Amino acid sequence: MKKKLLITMGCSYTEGVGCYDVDKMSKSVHYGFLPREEEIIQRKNFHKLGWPNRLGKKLGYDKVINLGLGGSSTSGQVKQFFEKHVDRDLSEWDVLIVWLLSEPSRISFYKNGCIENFCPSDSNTMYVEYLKWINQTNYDPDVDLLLENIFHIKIIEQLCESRGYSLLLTPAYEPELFIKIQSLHKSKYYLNKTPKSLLHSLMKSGNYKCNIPKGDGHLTPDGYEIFASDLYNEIKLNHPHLVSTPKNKIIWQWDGAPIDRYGKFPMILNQIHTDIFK
Amino acid sequence: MGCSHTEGYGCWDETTFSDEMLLKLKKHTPINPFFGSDNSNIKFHTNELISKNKNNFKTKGWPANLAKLMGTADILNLGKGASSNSGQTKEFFKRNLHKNPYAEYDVTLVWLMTEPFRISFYVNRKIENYMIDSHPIWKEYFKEIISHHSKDMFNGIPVEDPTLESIFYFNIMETVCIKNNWKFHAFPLTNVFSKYFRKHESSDNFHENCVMPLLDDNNLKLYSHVCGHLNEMGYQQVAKSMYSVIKS
Repeated sequence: MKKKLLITMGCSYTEGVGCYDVDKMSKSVHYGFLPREEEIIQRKNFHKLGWPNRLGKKLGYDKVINLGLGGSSTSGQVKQFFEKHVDRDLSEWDVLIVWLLSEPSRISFYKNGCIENFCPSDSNTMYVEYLKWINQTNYDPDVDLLLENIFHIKIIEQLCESRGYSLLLTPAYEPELFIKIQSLHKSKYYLNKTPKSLLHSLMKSGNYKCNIPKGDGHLTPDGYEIFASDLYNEIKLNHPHLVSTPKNKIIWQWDGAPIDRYGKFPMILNQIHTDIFK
Repeated sequence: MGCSHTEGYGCWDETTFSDEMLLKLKKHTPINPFFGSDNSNIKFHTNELISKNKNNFKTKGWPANLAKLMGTADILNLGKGASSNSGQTKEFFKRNLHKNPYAEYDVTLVWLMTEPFRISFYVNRKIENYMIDSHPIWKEYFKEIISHHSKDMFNGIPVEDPTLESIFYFNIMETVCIKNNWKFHAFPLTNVFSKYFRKHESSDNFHENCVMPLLDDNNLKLYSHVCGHLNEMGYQQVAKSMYSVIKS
């Protein structure tokens, strides 16, 4: 019987942003603004205590590889997957990919030999120009963004079918947008039969916001535990063949950093942690 | 798959040209083509003219010639003028060809990958491609990728980052072909990005030697004086070069 590998894809919610160890922080700010040593500590905490390891344990998987990266786009996540995993032989593993889809408005391009993601909040001039054009049309501009996302979803679907991996898709954004995706793209890989956003429901409740910095909506470790439980319950209900006996401990690895061909990115992003999660 | 060079653009049937156009054409060579050298000539480049020549493009471009050499029964030519590698891949997925509607065929996918600098986005629910300097979006993209000191310039544009984008699309198409048990051969339209492609991608399905004849004095007969693309003879040569690589 093959060992079970869970690969998780997504943005900051998958990286585990919000799982701060407040005792090891000199100030209550976004991790990107912390002194380098503190940022390393906090990011390791994110990677350990986010939903991927928790879900892996509940599902009874042997190993979790978390590709989640804060600020990343759907296209950037697919590029990253192709860079790191398309040539990797995982034939000895029974692989499940859970993809927590990022908000569709983000885009990516290679820059300086590395995948660079662009978010609406960046005020990047290329991004602003792109938005200007899609907003000039007679159609709902969301649809153009979603069609880009659907293209990238189809790519991962192909890859999974090619390799015999299982795949589950669920959104990190509001269900209204996900309904639009589902109307444009029928897929057997959606986590839920009806459009549902487990993460959005949890965030809307407001009970588990990390609030670091003040107002930040990422989840606390308790929030990610509830999210992992919600995911587990839906998988058990809709995809029971993917569920095994829960594990006491699993091996996990965070591999969310894009390949840094010219050494332009800080070391923290180049590290792959491998550890045990109990 | 490919751009105008796959669509067969350049295989003009001059009997479809107006007398005025034929007269003007006399002054032009492939180095100084009719379309491209003089903006006033653009009025001749009408949808009607393209439409009259579509069949010529289709039957005399490299895909039809290669199919003959390979003994292939049916061709689906996805070549589209001015398209990007990303746009071509998007079009392929948009048509759901990745789901393999050709299960009863022995399929070979040949991709003449266009210059890597082009980008694409969905706008108005359509795949819009942006060529060099063609659109404000491309100009902003260029500003974005130019911002580092690079030695990989071609005509002032960095090559390596756009080539990494193209490698991503190559890998996607390779995955599709493996899944569907199709044969896959990709060729570069120019040598400019071949070495960068090879630096980052070792797949045998990419043939880095350019199959396009050089536009020099010896090869002028292979190029169209109408648009500067290859002509019927030029595309025959491309097909022969491709066939020789595929056969080996």
